[in-house]
Amino acid sequence: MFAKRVLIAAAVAAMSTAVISACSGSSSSKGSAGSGGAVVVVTPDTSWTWALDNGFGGLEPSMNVVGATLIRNPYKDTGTNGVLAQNVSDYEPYLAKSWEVSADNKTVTFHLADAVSQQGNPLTSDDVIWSWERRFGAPTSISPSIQNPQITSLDQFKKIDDKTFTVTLDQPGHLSTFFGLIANVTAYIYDSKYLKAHVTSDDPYAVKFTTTNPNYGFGPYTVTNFQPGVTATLTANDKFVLGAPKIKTIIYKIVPDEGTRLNLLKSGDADVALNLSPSDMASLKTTDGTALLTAPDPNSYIMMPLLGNKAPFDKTLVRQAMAYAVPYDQIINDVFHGQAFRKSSAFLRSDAPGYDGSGFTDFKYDPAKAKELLAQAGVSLPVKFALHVSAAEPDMQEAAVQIQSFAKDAGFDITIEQVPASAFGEGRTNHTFQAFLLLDYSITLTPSYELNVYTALNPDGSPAGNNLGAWVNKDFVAAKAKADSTVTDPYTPEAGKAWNAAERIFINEAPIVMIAQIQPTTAFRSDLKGITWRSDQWIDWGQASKG
Amino acid sequence: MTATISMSKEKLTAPKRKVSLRRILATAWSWAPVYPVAVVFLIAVIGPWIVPLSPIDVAGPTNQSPGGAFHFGTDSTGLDVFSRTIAAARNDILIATLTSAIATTAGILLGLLIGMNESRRGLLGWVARFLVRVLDLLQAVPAVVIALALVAVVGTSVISLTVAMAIILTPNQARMVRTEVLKVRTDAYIDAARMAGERGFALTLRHVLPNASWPALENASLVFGAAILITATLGFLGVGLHPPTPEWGSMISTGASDAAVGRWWSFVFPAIALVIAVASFAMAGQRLFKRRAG
Amino acid sequence: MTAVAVPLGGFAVVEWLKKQRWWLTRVLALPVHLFFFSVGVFFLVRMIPGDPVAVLTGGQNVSAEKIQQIRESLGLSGGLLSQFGNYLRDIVSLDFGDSMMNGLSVWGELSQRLPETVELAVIAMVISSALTLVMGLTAVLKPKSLLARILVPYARTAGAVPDFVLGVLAIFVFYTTFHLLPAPSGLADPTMTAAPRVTGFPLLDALFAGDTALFGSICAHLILPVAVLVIANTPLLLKIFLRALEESIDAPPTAFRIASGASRKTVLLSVARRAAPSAVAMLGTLFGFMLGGVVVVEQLFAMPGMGLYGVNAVNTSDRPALQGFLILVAAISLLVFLLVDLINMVLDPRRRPGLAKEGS
Repeated sequence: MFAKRVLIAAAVAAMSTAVISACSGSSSSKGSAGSGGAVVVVTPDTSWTWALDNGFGGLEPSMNVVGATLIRNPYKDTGTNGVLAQNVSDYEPYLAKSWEVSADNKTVTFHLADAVSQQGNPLTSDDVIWSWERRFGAPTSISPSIQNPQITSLDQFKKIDDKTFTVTLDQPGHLSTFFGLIANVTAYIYDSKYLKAHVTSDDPYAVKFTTTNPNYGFGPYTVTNFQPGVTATLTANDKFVLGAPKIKTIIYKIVPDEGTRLNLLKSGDADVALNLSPSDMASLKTTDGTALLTAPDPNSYIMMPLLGNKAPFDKTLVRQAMAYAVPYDQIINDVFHGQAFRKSSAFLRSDAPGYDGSGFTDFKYDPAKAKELLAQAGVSLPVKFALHVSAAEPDMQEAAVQIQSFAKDAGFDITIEQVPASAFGEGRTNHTFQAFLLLDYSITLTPSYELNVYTALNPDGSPAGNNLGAWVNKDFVAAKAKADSTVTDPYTPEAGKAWNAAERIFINEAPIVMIAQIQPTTAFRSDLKGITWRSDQWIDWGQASKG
Repeated sequence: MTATISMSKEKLTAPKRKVSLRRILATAWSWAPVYPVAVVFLIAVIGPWIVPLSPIDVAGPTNQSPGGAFHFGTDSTGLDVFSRTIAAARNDILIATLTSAIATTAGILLGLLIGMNESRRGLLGWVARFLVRVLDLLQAVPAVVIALALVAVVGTSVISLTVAMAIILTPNQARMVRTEVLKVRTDAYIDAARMAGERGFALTLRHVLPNASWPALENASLVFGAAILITATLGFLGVGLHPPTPEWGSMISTGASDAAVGRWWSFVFPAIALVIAVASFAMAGQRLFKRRAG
Repeated sequence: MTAVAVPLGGFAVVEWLKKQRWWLTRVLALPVHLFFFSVGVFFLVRMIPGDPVAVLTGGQNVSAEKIQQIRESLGLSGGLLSQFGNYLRDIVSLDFGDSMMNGLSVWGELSQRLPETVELAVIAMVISSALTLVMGLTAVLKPKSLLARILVPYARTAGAVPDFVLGVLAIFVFYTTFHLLPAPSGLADPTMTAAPRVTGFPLLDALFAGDTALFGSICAHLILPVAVLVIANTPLLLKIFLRALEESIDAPPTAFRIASGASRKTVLLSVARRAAPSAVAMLGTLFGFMLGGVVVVEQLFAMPGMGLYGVNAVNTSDRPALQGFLILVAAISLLVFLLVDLINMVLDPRRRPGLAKEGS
């Protein structure tokens, strides 16, 4: 009797197993990828999305798949570990084999190369124009705001024939940033023939279609296996326009724990590890078989916006005092273990031709000077405020602790508020914090774009979402507008003076304290050559080789 | 000495108990399971005053191994692990004690309310039966999952963590009390009290409450342990108290990455402290609230 | 004839239904509970601070109209009531929508991850139960032995050592220091291809595909996570089982068996059988702890399961993903509780509702 009952119980349990497996969804695997000779990359979960124009999620693998642009920045060998770095002041052909600029510097004529998409469709001007249609038409696309004011309307694009088209700009001053934009992430060219075949009334630009069908471009790799949140396998595209990549298979694996990623790299179970902590990066310097991705002039900054729309940082003197209260050396040495440096208080790229670096206040840790400025401002000590950091960024938390400890002597009483990533994003965009810490970088690195990215204003004059310091300053706006309208070649000494006039105001008024430049957090096995540093922080696998 | 019962005018007395050293030592030994907890509480109270270095300010170079000025070494931010481990006791014990108290009290009250009214018709009965379903549901979902969702809503201060823990841990207490209430309701002395004229509220308070509460009290020490553990787990998952507030779970979390590469001290010491605290509470709870007679 | 047969047949069906009421009502109650839980989830998720649109735009300078456009396409516009109405309609048709962060179907991702999580939890539970049975019987039968002396205090420490502590220790000892076990890099060796999907459970799929290398790799990668879950949670089950065993030994039926001269084996079996129901009841709660532990273990060992999905959803305020996650976890837990109750009611008919008994 009892045995019968046990049998019934076991049957119930077995049936439930069947029920659960019946509920399992279908696989999105696309077949098998080869092993042997494959490169394994371990990365944290950055919410990959293949579908561009669907927000701004983690896009590294998609850059290698769909990320073909008309032009690109050329690579230069840094001489260390075979690392190649982008030269952001120059451009070379990619999907466009040549181009001419008109005499009035407002129209560019592009001649397309004979490229073939991953689906086998040849590249035409229709692809270019439809790609911009999608960028401007998809509701979740954020490209329009990024390309404003250089590209604001599809009318600027004109097709001449299947392999030729022109783009017309409003002002000659837009030219340099236009080139910068079309070399980067908001200007990928899609295979319009393939995508148009999958347009539906719910999905007029096939954005949803591309979340699960990643091979819709002209890039060096195709996706042959994809499990969301787990892994993605990229296989070399031998028909790639610039030549077949040397590494045939790349396997991305999501490993959430940072220490595990480090261990996998050290033991050789992984070839590349992304997002390592600075102390671990420093420890790899003395480990055999591994190499660090080091950039000659990294564009990642740790910055501390001090918001000017509320107390205490509505007073310029208080902001400047804070700039004297940050323990720069401690942050560079104790938080980033030497994986960071600070050349000066300034921000624009000092390796750009024609750069003018004069006239900036040299902010150093000087508590006495800070107190002097606070006294001048007439505020009572200590100045209390909350410093917000994102829970997703442990380095920022450590830096915040350093700032909190050392700013005490300068008259500041800081409370550290750690919030989840989404709340942090909201506070940052809506300017509700008093001050916060973040690590950020600008992908397009022309002087005009860099000056605009953290200071932009909405049409009604209020600070835009990425205006981190909620800063509105008439003099700065005037100086920037003057530079934008008079400069055609951004890399001459006269242009350098014009940018300097604007940058001076930005640095000295201290709406954002640019604390230090941070080296990339990527390390790799030393038998890999041609690992790239790019302004978008992604690796261009078409350049790499193993052994 | 033997007892003497005599029919004379002597009073009936029990033998005097000798106050001997052996007696004292035996009593002291029987209370031994409570001592570790007393020590833990002591540290929790006076901790922040006796630590050699500040638990929230940078104390020295990062990643120093134990020894010298830093008994337990320093972590990756340069904070002293020893001071933080001691100071963390206050935060963790505070949250756990408050949670335990709230969950047990609320559990007893809820259990009483539900148990006494479950079989009634009318509004109270419906409310009671509805509450049973709600409690069931709350218990069904794993604690960590509920904690994650709650903490996302209420934030991560000591108060909000206490509230979240209390919400998670009350249902079990309430359930146990309810079961006991259902049993006690039918006992003879309740009927006796009723016949003697006691009614309703007074009856519940004087007779049911004392007899039905003991499962929750017995369980209080486990609730305590669970509160610390869930707080620590939340800290591990990255949603604990603000940095650099010392709390064992978040210390273990940041220490975990260090341990994976060989820097064991920022992980091991808070972990040991955590285990000692939870285990000593479980031990003390067993000793204090052991059910008297079957 | 038929005029009588139908009501008679119907009568028989009704009678059968009444007899099966004890499990039918429980089974039917499940969707109702789940529905009410979903309502609660809706409001809970909406209370979470953090604007998903802000995360989606990555802090870029987006115009106000564009933000409104994004809001509409994500279903965030419209009043609370209309959103609630849409939500109810979607839930009933099992449409959990798309994740706000990566645009993929929530149900699609969850249903892929679910078997992996369940596999981990179930393996851990089975091993835990087997261990408990063996350890419990040993401790009670040979109370003076060394094993018993270790086991009883071990049971008392029920849950003092959290699973994440054990996990980090395990990785440190077995991988970092001694290189005995493979790297905590996920389900299997990264360069191996996954088996074609038959049941969705990785181990079973590898078995069906006959891929012994993959099967071995998965097993090797499962050793540490399962060990962590088992060691952290077995004491609890053991404690309950020991207590139940002790009560069962002292109970009259046992005395009767011994007195009537039953063999040792028979007595043992009857003791175990009477102790089983309270331990089985504990299994449900244990599964809940396992699921909670799995969230932590998945983080540490990079296992592609539901736990990571949930943590990510909380951190990015991804409402559809979070809703789907919470509802699915509740559904599984309720299902397991139901199964445990049913098994218990099969094993011990006195526990069926509708019979006079004390308490619940």
